[in-house]
Amino acid sequence: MTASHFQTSMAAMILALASALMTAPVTAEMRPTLNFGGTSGLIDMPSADQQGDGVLSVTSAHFGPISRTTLSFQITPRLSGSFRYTAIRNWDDVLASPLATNYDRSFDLRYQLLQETRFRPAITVGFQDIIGTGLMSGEYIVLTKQLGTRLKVTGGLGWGRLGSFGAIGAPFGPRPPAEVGLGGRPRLGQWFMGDAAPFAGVEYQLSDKLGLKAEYSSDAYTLESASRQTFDLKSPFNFGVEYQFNKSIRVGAYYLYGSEFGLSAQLILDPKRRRTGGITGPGPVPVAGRPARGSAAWSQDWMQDSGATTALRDRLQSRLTADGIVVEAITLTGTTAQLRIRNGQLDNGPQAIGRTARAMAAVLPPSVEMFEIVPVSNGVAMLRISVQRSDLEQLEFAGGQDALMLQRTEISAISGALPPGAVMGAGLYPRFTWNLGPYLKTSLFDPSNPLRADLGVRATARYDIAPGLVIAGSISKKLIGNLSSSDRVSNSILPRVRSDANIYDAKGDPSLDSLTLAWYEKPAANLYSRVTLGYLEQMYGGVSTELLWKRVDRPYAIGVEVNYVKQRDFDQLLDFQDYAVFTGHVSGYYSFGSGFEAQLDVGRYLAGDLGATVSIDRTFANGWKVGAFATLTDVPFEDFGEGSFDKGIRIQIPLAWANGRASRVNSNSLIRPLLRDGGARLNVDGRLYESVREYHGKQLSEEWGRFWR
Amino acid sequence: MSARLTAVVLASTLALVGCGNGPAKDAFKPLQAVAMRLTGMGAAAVKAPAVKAGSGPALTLAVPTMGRQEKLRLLDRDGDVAVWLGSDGSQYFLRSGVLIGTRGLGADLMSATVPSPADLARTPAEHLRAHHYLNGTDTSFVRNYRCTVAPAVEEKPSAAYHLIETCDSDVGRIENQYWLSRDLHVIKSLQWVSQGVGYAAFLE
Repeated sequence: MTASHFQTSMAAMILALASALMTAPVTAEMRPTLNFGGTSGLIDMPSADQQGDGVLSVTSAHFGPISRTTLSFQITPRLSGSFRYTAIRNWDDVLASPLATNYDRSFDLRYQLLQETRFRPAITVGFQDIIGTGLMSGEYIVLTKQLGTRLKVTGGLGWGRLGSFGAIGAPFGPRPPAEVGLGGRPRLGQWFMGDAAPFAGVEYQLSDKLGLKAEYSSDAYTLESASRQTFDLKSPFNFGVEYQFNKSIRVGAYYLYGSEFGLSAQLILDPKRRRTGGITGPGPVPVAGRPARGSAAWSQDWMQDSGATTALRDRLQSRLTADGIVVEAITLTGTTAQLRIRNGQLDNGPQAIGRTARAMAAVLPPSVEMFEIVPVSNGVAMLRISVQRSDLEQLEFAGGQDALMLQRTEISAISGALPPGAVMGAGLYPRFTWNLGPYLKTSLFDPSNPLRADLGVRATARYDIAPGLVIAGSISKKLIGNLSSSDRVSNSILPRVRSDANIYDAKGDPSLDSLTLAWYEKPAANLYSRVTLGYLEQMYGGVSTELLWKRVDRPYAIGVEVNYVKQRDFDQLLDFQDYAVFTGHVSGYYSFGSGFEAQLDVGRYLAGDLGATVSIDRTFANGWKVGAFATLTDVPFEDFGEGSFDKGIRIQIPLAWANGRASRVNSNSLIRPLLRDGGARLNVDGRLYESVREYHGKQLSEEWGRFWR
Repeated sequence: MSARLTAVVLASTLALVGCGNGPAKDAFKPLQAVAMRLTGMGAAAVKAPAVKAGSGPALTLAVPTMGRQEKLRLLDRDGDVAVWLGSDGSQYFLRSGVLIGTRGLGADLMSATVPSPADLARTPAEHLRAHHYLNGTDTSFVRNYRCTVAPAVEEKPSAAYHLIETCDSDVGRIENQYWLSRDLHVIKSLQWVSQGVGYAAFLE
């Protein structure tokens, strides 16, 4: 049979199959969509739907004078949280106000009490604006049921803001007045108090792409419409049409409250779904077979050759370069090889280990049966992964090979010292590396300009003196931007340890971002240490020391950090200001499983305040991470100022998830509604836990499937 | 607000290209990638193969969903398993002609427990099949199938023995087809890879 004949017959066969097997299944479940507030819902009203577990969404919705941008995260299958930034224009049109536009931040939590079944609707309870100024505050209980394959019906009861139109009475008594104050405190006493009003709506799916929405809103916009007359509310009915571009983007156009047109855009990022399905890129080198045991090739005579280790090291390095793996050190006996590696490219630890093991099988003499692979971070050995060469040969094509390999792999602690006879990698110490690239720096939520940004160039350089001993620095030069335009003067009554950030941004051009001498060491098998000296960050220089205890097989770790720092001059060159402080923390880390990790830091903060920070992160095996933190210190809320205490949200998105190519580059975002002086911590590079946890315990076993990739 | 940010990011990526001799810390790469991901543009290019195969026997591959059609080269043979290499470095593992793994297709078949051609030829018979995959967070999972094999109804008499292996799992049915020679050698086949890739066709 010729190839072309084959192609024709194949094509026919594939077509037949395609029609039989690949017809799009009737979607039994309608896609959960988002509302103007960025939570699962209709137009302005919520529904009982939840987004897929782990989904991160960004919604930008606008009608009349009101714009809302919301970041939401489906924390668990039933629990979700939203952080919203609202702008209400025309604020001073009829009533005097220092603000032409009122900017407001709010935070919601929602919990699905009951999931939808064939006969029962889903029921969700929601708390809107629980710790902000209360401008958006409201509570609701809502039911949603899908009828057939195209229609979804929602009905609910709202309180607070959501009970302000068409109220049916106050079932639990009057709503106590809000004590907004500085914000930042939950107003538990208000929940479900005061007038309650019903709301309802329908969503109809015209086609895969097109959806229609209609609702009856229970929000009277009392402040925005009645008091400040920013828009005219004529009717409680809202209508909209939405278009689904692809799995990630949905846009909508609306007619609201009988007077205003509206637009919205919804972005959905699902950490569990890669566009490419899995990681792309070339396959691995096949595991090389060995001659029959006992043959002459198995002799250990090669050990007699004094240059053997160096030669084998170089051959290993040339095979590993394509995967961005660097041989840090090699130690050989007749039967065992220990290879210490740096993984500079692969986003997944097990894949780096698997590729290293394959290179070892291809290069090392047959008598070497035990492969010990030791990932190294900043010159410090993390742990030892011991793989039998014969297991590698046996399981290369076995079904369920990853679980089988993990069973036979030993993961153990390792001391920092190199074994006797170790040969270091070629040209690693001393070594100078540098980079020149663009940077973007943003400043969010300043009431006079909620988004400021600088764009410039940044040069970084690194000089590796010896394993674990590094000089590193970075210089930035702004090209364009408006960070310097902020003339807000800090009103803080605490030492201004962070609230002068805008002065630093304005005066540091060019700026020495950092220049440090760092020393990383492993004093004992489960102990990691760091000493960093120099210009540590934008605002502080001094000395930072850290010690971390972490066992490879335990879900917890304990760390201590002690720093003595002095505040840097605003121009961020070499000088310092007068303020100096001892700051430091005792930190506990705990991994709960299923990706949830908690961290508790107790200690003294930059302003000399004493307190604790609680952080909770949800991490995904592919490197996605979404978390939140809050700090309470002995600074009274009144002294802290607006927001009452320090808190924020952090998001890490791996590049490899977005484009399907192996890479260790991450996009890290920190959203902090207010940066003030209470509960402020030093930002120092190279904190130990992050680099140590990558190769430890659960993290390694959850991603182990890529060992064979 | 977001439009302004996008404009800034876009302008900067166009204007500036990072350089250096160290590992790239390009702050824009993730933004670019997320933008690509959202718009569905800029499909990931696959790097040049890290391994090279000599000339020798060839196998023709077609993956209709990916628009891929090419001659594969034999990279390695280990007992009854042959590793075939695509021009982009992707790999296809076939045990006596039955697909047991792929690498580099994105939604790869990581490993599989499959019947041999002799098992397939022993119709009518039932067997189990297990496919191992990675999900979007690189965590592995298994898909189990219960399969039956039946000879295909041929319009024209053929020298090859045409078999259809029908496999059911809790998420649906797949149908693999094999054309076997008299000595039970797989001459051509159409085999399921994964949900993301669909079927791949192989011809000797």
